[in-house]
Amino acid sequence: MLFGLLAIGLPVAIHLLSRPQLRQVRWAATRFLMKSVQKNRRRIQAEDILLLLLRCLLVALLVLIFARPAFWSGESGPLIGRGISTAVILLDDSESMGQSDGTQTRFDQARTMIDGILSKLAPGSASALFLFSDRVKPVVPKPTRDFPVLRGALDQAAPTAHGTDLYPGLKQAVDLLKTTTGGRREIFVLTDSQMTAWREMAKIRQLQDENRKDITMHFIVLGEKGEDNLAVTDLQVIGAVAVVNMPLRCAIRVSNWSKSPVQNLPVKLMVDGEAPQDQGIIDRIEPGASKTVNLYVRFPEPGYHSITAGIPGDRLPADNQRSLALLVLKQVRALIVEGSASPDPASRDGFFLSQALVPVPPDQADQYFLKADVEQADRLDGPSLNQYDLVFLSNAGRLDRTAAQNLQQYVRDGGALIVFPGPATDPHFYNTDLNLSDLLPARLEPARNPPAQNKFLAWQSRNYEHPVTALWNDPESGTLGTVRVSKYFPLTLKTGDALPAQVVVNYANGEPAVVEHKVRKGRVFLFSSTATTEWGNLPIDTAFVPLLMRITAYALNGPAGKLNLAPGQPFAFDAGLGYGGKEWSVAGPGEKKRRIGGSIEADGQSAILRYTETDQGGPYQLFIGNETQPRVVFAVQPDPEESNLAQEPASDLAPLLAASDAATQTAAGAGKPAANSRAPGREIWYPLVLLALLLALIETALAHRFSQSK
Amino acid sequence: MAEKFNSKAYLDPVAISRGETLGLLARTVVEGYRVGEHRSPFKGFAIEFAQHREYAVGDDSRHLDWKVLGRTDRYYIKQYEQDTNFVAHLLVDGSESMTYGSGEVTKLHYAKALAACLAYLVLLQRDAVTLGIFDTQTRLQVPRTDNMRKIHGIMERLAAFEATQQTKLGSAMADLAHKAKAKGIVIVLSDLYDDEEGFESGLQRLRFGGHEVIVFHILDPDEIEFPFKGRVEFVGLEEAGKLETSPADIRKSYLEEMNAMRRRMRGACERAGCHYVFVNTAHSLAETLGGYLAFRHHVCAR
Repeated sequence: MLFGLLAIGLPVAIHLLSRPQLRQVRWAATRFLMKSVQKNRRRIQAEDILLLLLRCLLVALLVLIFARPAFWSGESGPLIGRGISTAVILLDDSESMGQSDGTQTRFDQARTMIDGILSKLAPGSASALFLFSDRVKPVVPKPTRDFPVLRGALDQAAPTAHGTDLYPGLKQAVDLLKTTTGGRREIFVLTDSQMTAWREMAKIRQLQDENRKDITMHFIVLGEKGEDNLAVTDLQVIGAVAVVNMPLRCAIRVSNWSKSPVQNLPVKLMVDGEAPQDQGIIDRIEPGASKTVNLYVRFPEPGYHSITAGIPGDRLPADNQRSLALLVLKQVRALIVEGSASPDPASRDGFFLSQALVPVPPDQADQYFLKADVEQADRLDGPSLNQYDLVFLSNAGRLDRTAAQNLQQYVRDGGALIVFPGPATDPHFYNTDLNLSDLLPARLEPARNPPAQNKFLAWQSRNYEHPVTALWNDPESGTLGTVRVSKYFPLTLKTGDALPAQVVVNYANGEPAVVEHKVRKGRVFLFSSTATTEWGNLPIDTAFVPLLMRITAYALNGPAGKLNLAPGQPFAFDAGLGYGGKEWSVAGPGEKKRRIGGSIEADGQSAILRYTETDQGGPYQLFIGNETQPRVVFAVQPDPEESNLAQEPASDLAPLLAASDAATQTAAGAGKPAANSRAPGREIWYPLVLLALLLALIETALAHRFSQSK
Repeated sequence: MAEKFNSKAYLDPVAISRGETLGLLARTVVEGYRVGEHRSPFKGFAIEFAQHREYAVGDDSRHLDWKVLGRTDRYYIKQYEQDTNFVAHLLVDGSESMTYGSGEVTKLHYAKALAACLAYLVLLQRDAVTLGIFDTQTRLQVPRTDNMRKIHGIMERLAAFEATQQTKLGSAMADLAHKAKAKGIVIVLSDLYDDEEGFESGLQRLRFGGHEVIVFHILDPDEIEFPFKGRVEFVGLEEAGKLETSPADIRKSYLEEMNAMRRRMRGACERAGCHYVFVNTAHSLAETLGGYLAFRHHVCAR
């Protein structure tokens, strides 16, 4: 901006450019002119110089006014023109920034502070704005001098459901500033300093040390200390499969991050945002502890629904509720295909499966939502597979070509296939058959026994990563570590597929025990051992029934795939080819009105509805066209760690802040510069405008006076 | 600057008409060579009685005042005032500075027209006229004539003259004072951009020679008002050199200088007992000439 000072040459340039307009007059009385000029020369020169100086000063003042000069506040006293700076403002938009002090949230405080920082940046400075949490969102990706745009982007920003990790944002800001030249380079980090934000403290320190000379980092900590908070930190369906009019048990975990215990805490459970269907009381939660309460809901209609668990409000409303989306089924039909027939029902390959899938007395089987049929493998060549939601292969041997083709088509059309190999299974056939090898997520190696020193091989007992088995991460749900096999087919996962295989559960030695993958619209689970007690105890383990239920529920999520997402995860739904190009709308968490989301993308094989704006926690309802009922419901679940508002101890941050020219801010002092801050101070353009006006008046008066006849 | 007017254009009918009515009377005594309507310094025996003097031997006895002789027995001669004609010497400044004119009319053209009208009026009342155009020396000389038919010749010679040189008014006036033996009327038409001391000296010499002197100080309205705006480069007409300036810056000072010069010229004329007539070429010739002749008529009548 100060390059504008070159405009001081304008009055001189105007004078020089106006010279060609000189008029020539042949004159008789030159002697009087000479006398007059000689008499007035000094005065005229003085007047000209005075006017030139005034005009140059006026131009310089105008340039200065547009440059918006400011005093620098700080110990060194007021200084003007400390040079322009290029800044990146990193604003924490994780869920915890929604914590209020009773009047203002931490995010609002940060917004106010950023506004102050922008107004105090030296004139000509530029700034970018990044929102950071466990992801980085550059809302103003390049430093701009257009601060109104930046302020506009800031006004649009809001806290999200994301967790916090400071390092990626800081790294991105440093990388951006390295590409800039000239002026000072600064990073302003505004965060509530949750402990999770500093999870990569070593890297942050290293980044700061490496760039200490070039980039100044200001860490502004909002919120004096971690404040008390109660949160719904988990919501899970225990009953696994949600069926119309069947009670579904849900486990709700509430965590107390306060310094005092909480007593008689009511917990409610709602369906689709309606009135609570069930309510429970948690009698007491100790500080720092969590408690789980089981509540029940029923669904009158099949389809996609959301359930929401809620507790009374506190200063961080975002985690007082937690939602879960699920598909409610009307009835499930399963086909169990046995490899061998046995006159003894208990010895049949499908015995345990049929018992586990319909775990009710025979007289109640008709009312049970799941109907299981048992057939021989040679019956698979018929066209009747489409009436089943699930097909189980238990100890199936070689299948004829038609059966294999039927199975392949069944899965591709959206069916679920669960394969339990057994003594009759020929791994070579399954690995090489054109149709079956396409379906299976892993190669079956020749069956073997566990190593000699171990008679049995157990499943892993903890750290389950797959959604189907994640339930058993909670010790209260039991463990899968009690499942043991005496013989199994080692599984070699297929690689290179568009939809890679996922391990559902491993053996204790790390070998995969169960794997699954998606095949077009369908899904295939492959166990490594039998569904009978011949090679292991799985069918008689307590986890067998819930495991089958969870597999059933997971496999039957159908085209929606994953219904419960982490913040920021995109959601995709196969709406069916007939809906390609149709408009869809969305009602996000807390939104009563639908808003247009876009059109369904169709590529000839499928029509996918994609939704990516999943930063807010809660249920999302997606509608196609003018439909009144949502076509699909999914939920975004915040990071439970965000509910723990405890801040990183100041002692841990001290070296970082000391080395970074830090301006530590508290919520109480928000908007005021810290004592050691070098933030630019009050702007002085207003008095300069007055001075410029005064100069303009003086110049006009003098020019008028000097232009009078002399 | 070449004059673009023909010789006949110099005679302004309105000016002539007014001049005929008022006439150009000699304000002081003049020496003519024949009887005219102007007072002569010579006293003799004419119509109008002037005084008596004692008879001396040789006096014509016809002029004896017989009545006085009869009453007093003394011999007195009656003397009468003698009227004569005059010679009007027209001195026109033909220097280059006279070529300036803000409009169509230059100062030189105005001076020529004024001179032509005056010559016509003088000849009309059967007085004599001489014409001299000078710059550093006398460039054009029309000898004395009282023949009206010569007026065309005078105008043609006026029209043919072109200015090229600087002015030396003082020497031109001194030269005239030296050449003109008989007392007459010297009419100077000039912008007086000359050595002021030389001008005053010339006036004194003419006055010492008994001439009545009338100075027509001819200036252009631009020179009187200095109305220029913006940046102007002035190129000297007589004096070499250029001067670039902003007229607004020096207007006041210039006008002071110009007015001071006019005051000095008027003062010099008044000290020498001459008429100073300030002429603005923006005014019509009739207005200028009529105004002055009326003033003169009034003065001479007293």
